[in-house]
Amino acid sequence: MVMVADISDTTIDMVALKEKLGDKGAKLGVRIDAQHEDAFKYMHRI
Amino acid sequence: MLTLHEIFETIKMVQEENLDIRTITMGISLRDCADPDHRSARRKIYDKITRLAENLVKTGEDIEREYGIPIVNKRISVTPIAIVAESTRTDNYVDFARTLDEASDAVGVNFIGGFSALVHKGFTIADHKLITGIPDALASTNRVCASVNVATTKAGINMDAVCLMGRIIKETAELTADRDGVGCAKLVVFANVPEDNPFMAGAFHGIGEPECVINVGVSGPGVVKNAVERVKGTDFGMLAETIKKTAFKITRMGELIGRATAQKIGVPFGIVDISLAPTPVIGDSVAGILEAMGLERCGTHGTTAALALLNDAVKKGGAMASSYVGGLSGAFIPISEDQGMVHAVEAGALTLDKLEALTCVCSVGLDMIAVPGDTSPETISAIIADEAAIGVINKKTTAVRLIPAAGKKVGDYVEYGGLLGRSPVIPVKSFSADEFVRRGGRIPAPINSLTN
Repeated sequence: MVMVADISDTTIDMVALKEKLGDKGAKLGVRIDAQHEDAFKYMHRI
Repeated sequence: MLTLHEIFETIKMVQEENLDIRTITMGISLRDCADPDHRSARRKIYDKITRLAENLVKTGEDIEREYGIPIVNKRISVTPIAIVAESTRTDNYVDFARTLDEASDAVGVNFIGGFSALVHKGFTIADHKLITGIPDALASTNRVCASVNVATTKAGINMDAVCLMGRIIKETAELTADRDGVGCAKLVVFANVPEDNPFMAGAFHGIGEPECVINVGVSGPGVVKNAVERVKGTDFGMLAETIKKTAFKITRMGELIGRATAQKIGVPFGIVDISLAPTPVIGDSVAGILEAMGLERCGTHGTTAALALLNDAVKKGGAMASSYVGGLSGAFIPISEDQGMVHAVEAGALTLDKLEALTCVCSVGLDMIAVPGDTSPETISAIIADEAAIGVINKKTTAVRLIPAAGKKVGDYVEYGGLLGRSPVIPVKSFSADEFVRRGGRIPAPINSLTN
């Protein structure tokens, strides 16, 4: 499952978000990753 | 809008195929640190490095977390110390190496490059002092890397320097014999050295470079290997196209990270070095890519052609992905740092002669190769001369990073751990080149240097 989220109006930073999602994933028995949109855009778009 | 395939491809590259940024290297000019008093010069050097690179490691770590792309190393390159120390009234340049070591320790980088001299056409007094100080400098520091450029296509090959470097490499190995000659892993002899290379041990901040700059070295042999495996059995056109597209994606990551780092630190972004840099991690191997192309073992007949195709396709993809490609930008073929190369040597498929042939079509040269401890300085010089000749005639960078492991014979191993890995000692020829390398002087620049 993939979700595009806008975190520009939140107070949480990317690092903390990744940690929280990782912990939640462990509880749910799935792996949850968060990655900056720019990483995908830069790799696949000119 | 991004497709699901694209999103999963990126995540897979990072999590399963060892895609990372090998290094962000801050280049720092030390030209304004020259001072007749060596203590004052060294204080200026320390202050400048610790001021400019104060936030390098932290910024790198922040960006690593923000983008989710590992940045393996944060490093510094500086103006060749032979130039910076030239105006000081001292014969002891080893203290400059210690200052570099202390400054790099203070800012937390794992290597600092630039204990270097450019002597392709001849030595200044300072060049000579620096080079003769290399063994002691590398034995008495942990992070300092040294390099010497002994040849260019425009100047020819300074055979006096080649001859001297054979002795310096031997001395460095002996002074660090208790650590399997690790000093030699931090010493590179170059022909046509690039001035913006972010990779160690050969990085330094060239004299045409700005005050301070961020250069990036990408990695990704594992990503390319997996891409090659997915097109098993297809023709060469498809193979080259697949590598090219993969290199494009890897380089884009380097460009992103480089620009983000430079912007955060507030210095210009220099170049992305698109070299495929292997590590001892299983699967992160250039030899592995060549074998995935259809060779039973790296080093067998066909390896040169396979490496030429790989290197060219990487350059084509990389050049499209970044506005500023520089440094070495080709595949690295070290032995100890690449498990596949180690296995190829152990299997008898890969020899020093084949490695020399491979350096005609890729970026660096005879890299991280352990040779017997009783190899003579003249033989090492002759090996350097051969590499320099390949570089000079073909207008490309070549280099030699040999470890004549004291007390070790063919079949023994040198062990460093970490990124430097381990390597079997491989044989050199037993016939002498002493008379040839001792002739003295300079091999003239080739006819193809006359381009004006």
